[in-house]
Amino acid sequence: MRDAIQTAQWSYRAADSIMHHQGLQQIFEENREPLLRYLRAHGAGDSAEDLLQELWLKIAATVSGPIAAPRNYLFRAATNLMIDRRRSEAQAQRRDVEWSGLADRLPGSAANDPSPERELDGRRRLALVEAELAKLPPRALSIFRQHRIDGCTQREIAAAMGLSASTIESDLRLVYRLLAELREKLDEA
Amino acid sequence: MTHDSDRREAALDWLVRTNDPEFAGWAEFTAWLEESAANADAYHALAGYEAEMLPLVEAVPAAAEPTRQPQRRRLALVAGVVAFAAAATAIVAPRMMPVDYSTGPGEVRIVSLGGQDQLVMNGDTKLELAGWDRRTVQLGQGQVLLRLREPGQDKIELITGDLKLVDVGTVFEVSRDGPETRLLVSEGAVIADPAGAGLKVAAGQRLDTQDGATVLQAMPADISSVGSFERGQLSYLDEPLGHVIADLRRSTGIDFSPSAAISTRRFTGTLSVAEVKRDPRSLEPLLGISMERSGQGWRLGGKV
Repeated sequence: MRDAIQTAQWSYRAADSIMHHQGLQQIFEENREPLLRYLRAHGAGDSAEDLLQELWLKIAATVSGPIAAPRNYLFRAATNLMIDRRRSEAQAQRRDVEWSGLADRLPGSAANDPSPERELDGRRRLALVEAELAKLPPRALSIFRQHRIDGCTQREIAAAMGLSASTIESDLRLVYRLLAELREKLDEA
Repeated sequence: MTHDSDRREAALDWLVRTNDPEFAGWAEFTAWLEESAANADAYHALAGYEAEMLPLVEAVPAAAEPTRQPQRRRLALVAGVVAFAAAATAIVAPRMMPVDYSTGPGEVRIVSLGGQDQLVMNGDTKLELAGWDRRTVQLGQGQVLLRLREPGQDKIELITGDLKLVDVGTVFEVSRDGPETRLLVSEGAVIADPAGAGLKVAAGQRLDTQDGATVLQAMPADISSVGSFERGQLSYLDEPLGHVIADLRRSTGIDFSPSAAISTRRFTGTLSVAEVKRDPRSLEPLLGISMERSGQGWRLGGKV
């Protein structure tokens, strides 16, 4: 009984997604070259074709309804893909470095046991982040949260808070800059 | 040196612009990136840092923002109005409305529930936070991990299908697929159906049920897997393949559909989300199944 229900659901989902994809797929095909060029500009290199394929698979699996601005959606998804990819490359590199540092340490030393150290690290990090964020003008932090956590557009925030577009932009710059500096500080800590 | 800092300023401008959901200048942005590989490096340094810091910003107990402090709500409200009049009207008022959160397949999102309380959403998950303090979670579909560590907070209520769960200071994970609900408790305890059965599911136990079930029974569970989706690892001990495949769909964004015959088979082991994403076919030997391309996804069947 349970199996029968599940099978029905799966086939419904598949049919549903195909219907919505046809329009988007056409726009994807039309933008194939600009998208490839975009991925390469982000440093995709020889993987650009593969990444484009991965991008489409992701989009096809995600999209379940009509999209307001399909071209923007495709480039946005490509941007996120490249940010994820370059981040995991950077992380892998960092792990290699950490690992070689760790391997040099003497066995049995307290520094070799990662768990209490890491836990302390987590608390220290959060406290540091909290202290640094408190230095920001509250308006800038509020704009950042609305924009990046709640997903409001810059125009919506400007309208709601009665501010100009350039004020929103300069507040966001302030927060991004601080986050980058803070991230570098955490690496050194 | 000056050149590098100019580049960083330009990258900062582009990050501000491209992060806006309404940004449409992709050709212009491509041209800037193409000017030099160092431009892309500068942009990605900033974008990567921001992406890494975002969960921390979300996790910071909003001492800096009185409007996000539900525990001392009424007091905070007064202080908030004085100190941050503009922000308070903009944010406090909508707090009372339910808010929808959703993630696409393969996306993991952390939602702060105030203080140190966190809700982590796995991919392909839809939920609504309701109630005055937004401490009622209506889980439509998908998988969530709740880390409730803030002392003195109101209880969290999670409702999915016809099942209600109430936390007793805890870390637990809930998955919802179709009419089925899975609960795994790794710390503290959860009360299931508080008004009826009032079943206490303690740390180290799980509850598997579906809408319309008349009996609720807790079972021992392997809790090392609780929240493992957040680390990109999926661990199972004798888990029905139907659940495993639903988890894989959520975490990879790949449309895996199992045949009815294999859904009830069981799997024990650990899967790496990144590896499955890179090579979906690697599941064949791992799960002991056969795979076939079907549209944009994969159809999973029994081995011949």
